[in-house]
Amino acid sequence: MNTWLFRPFTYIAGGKALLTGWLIMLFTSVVAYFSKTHFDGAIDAHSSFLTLPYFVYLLETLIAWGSVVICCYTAAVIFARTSFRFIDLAGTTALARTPMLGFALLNFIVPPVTNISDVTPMMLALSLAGLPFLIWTLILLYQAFSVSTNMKGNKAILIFIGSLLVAEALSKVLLHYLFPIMVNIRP
Amino acid sequence: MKAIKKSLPLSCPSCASPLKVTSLACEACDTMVSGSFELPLLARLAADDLQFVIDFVKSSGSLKVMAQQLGLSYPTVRNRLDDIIHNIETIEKNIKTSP
Repeated sequence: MNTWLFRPFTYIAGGKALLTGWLIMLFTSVVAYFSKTHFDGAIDAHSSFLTLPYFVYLLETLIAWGSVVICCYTAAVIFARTSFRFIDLAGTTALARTPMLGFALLNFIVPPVTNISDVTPMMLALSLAGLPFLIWTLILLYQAFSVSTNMKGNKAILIFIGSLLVAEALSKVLLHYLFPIMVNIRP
Repeated sequence: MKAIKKSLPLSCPSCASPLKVTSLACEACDTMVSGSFELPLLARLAADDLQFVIDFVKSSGSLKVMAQQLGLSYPTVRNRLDDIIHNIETIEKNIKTSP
């Protein structure tokens, strides 16, 4: 049970993981659209009061996942001592974002904050309830990186953290430049 | 009485050097052969690693087939193989450096 929750990539990877991950990401973006959840960064998730077109939510999810794949793949090419497949990394990192669906669902009951006076203890508690989903995602992302590239131990953890920080910066830059285009050009 | 599963000792319990075979026996006629024989490289692997190598050969060296048979993902099986390759390299290095 624990293996399926925290190390599912022992059993599933490659194309099957990629397809499943994409389907869950697609469903997550639909839920995010209705619960107004923004995945505006590689490991970011926020609620908002703004109503934006659906494709913004889909692109945010894709950018968040894509930047993690690009950065982890580059790091693995430099540091991994054995060969690995891109599709394993892409597939497992896509599936690792599954807990974000829980975060998007939770936002149906967490009202967005417009100013500091809106924050109530109840709301704070609900916001903290989203933290396990983020932690779970981080654990799964590390397992995805570790299993796909056969990197273990402290070195793997440090490389993964570094990659994630670069991915976060990359996703922010991409969103910064794409966001004005996304909201101005409606399909 | 519970049967004990014996495993081949590979290194000296005193100094951790690789062990050699010094005697072999025929159970049919009680003939004993003495000498100093090196253990084959694959026999120096741990039992589960050796079983993995046997399964790998039986599946014609296909990691995809092995992954399907074991119910594991492809990278999990490939990582196991990479770890065994690393173990073999370590054993080879130990053989070269041992007296």
